[in-house]
Amino acid sequence: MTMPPVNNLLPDAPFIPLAPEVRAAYRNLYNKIQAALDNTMDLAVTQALNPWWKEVDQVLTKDDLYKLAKDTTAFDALRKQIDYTNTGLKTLKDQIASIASHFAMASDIIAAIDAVLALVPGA
Amino acid sequence: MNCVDEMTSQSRGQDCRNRRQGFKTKRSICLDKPLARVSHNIMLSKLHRGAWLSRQPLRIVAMALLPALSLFTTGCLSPLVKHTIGLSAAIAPVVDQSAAAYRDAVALDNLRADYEAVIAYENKDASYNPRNTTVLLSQKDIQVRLAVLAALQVYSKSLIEIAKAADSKELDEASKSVGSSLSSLGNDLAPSLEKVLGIAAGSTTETTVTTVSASTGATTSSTTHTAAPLLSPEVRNGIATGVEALGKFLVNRTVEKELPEKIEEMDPHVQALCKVLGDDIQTIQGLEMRDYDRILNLEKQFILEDEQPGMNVNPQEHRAEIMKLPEIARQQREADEKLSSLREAIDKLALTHHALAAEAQHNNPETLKDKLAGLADEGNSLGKFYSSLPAN
Repeated sequence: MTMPPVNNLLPDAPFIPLAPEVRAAYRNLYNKIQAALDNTMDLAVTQALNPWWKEVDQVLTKDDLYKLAKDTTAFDALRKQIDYTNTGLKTLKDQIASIASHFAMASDIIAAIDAVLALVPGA
Repeated sequence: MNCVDEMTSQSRGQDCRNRRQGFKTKRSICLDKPLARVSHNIMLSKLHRGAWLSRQPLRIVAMALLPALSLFTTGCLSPLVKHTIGLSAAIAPVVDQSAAAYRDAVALDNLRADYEAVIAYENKDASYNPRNTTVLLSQKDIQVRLAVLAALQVYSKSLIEIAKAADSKELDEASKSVGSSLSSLGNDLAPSLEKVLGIAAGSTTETTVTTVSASTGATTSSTTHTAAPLLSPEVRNGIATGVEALGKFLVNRTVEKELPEKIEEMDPHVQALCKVLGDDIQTIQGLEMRDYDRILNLEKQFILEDEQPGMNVNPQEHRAEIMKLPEIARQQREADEKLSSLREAIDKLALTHHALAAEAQHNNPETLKDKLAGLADEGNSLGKFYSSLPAN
């Protein structure tokens, strides 16, 4: 059986599995993106948010998987997902800033992204 | 590149319209059909529920509980018999409900995969390959789960018959049949549960097998994608042991005087099986909710894309697309409520069996009257849940 890996990530990497406050930050971001999608009629907003909805969802689900499997494969999958998602979130933040006038919840999502990035800067 | 980007010049705008009109045609295949399938599936589900209700309406559930209540008041049956009657009444609807829930979850997950295909093509995602699309639960995966639930149902009926010392030949044969089939499924349940967990997390293991022909020396390789083992060895063993114990009980049966001891022996296995089935449904529930969110989000995006200048979407078709949104949201609420109720029902089954085991030990301080009333409430709440479902 594969032994669960120790958390030997870089100092700025998250504790895996996600610590409760980190998971809560991702969950809050998921909820904010979903609420923005539910409350917009703007195509640019939906096209900007939909791809990152999926990636944030993947962080949460891969965290669930790691908690179940506790093996190296799940550990690596979660770490890669976090790095990919958080790098993308920086891009999304800029994208949202450029279309902020299109939707009321832009500042909420940017704040939620900042909260995630403050805890988990990513790659 | 998306359509909005492309429509910055007239000529490129025309290209975009042409592509979108082509896409629209494709979409009517990709989206309308699956949504029709969802509606059809819901209809099937309703028909299924309708058929179940016509076969076993609420009054029959009540009738199943009535003897327990009336006999309790007259004191004609032993406490053990009364508990087993309550257990059986609680299990029957769970089996039917589970079958519908599993099939709905598969249909929904397939629909999300269809939506993801549209997005992949719209984004020109070259990594998209329809052959890599996974299926949440195969027919076999569903059958394994239903077999375990059905075994629990036959087990509870057997307890009643044995406790009443009125064992019938038919039930004895049914028990042996179900018990024998379980032995071959014991090793299938854990991998099947892991498959759902793996899909929920989007994780698979890639295995490449390379073979060298002895005669020609030519090499061929094939790659398969399978879900990695997710459950701990202890949980996997617990599931296999539980299924095996249930199968053995049904095959060997027992006699009345041995029943209390056997019920006690079976209790940890029943608890373990109810736990994994409940957790499995919880995973499927989370997956379903995210599938619905994603479908709603993408459907909305497609509608907004169709509203862009130059798209020339048929107004009737456009309205039909919009009207799908509230229907999807309604289905999401219904599915969430259904799976929550199912999970609660399985949790209650575990508790009911545990109470039965405690009764067998004669060490439950709770009064018999209170316990029996609790069982009656459990059966009634399931009955009420069924009657709350739309009949057509």
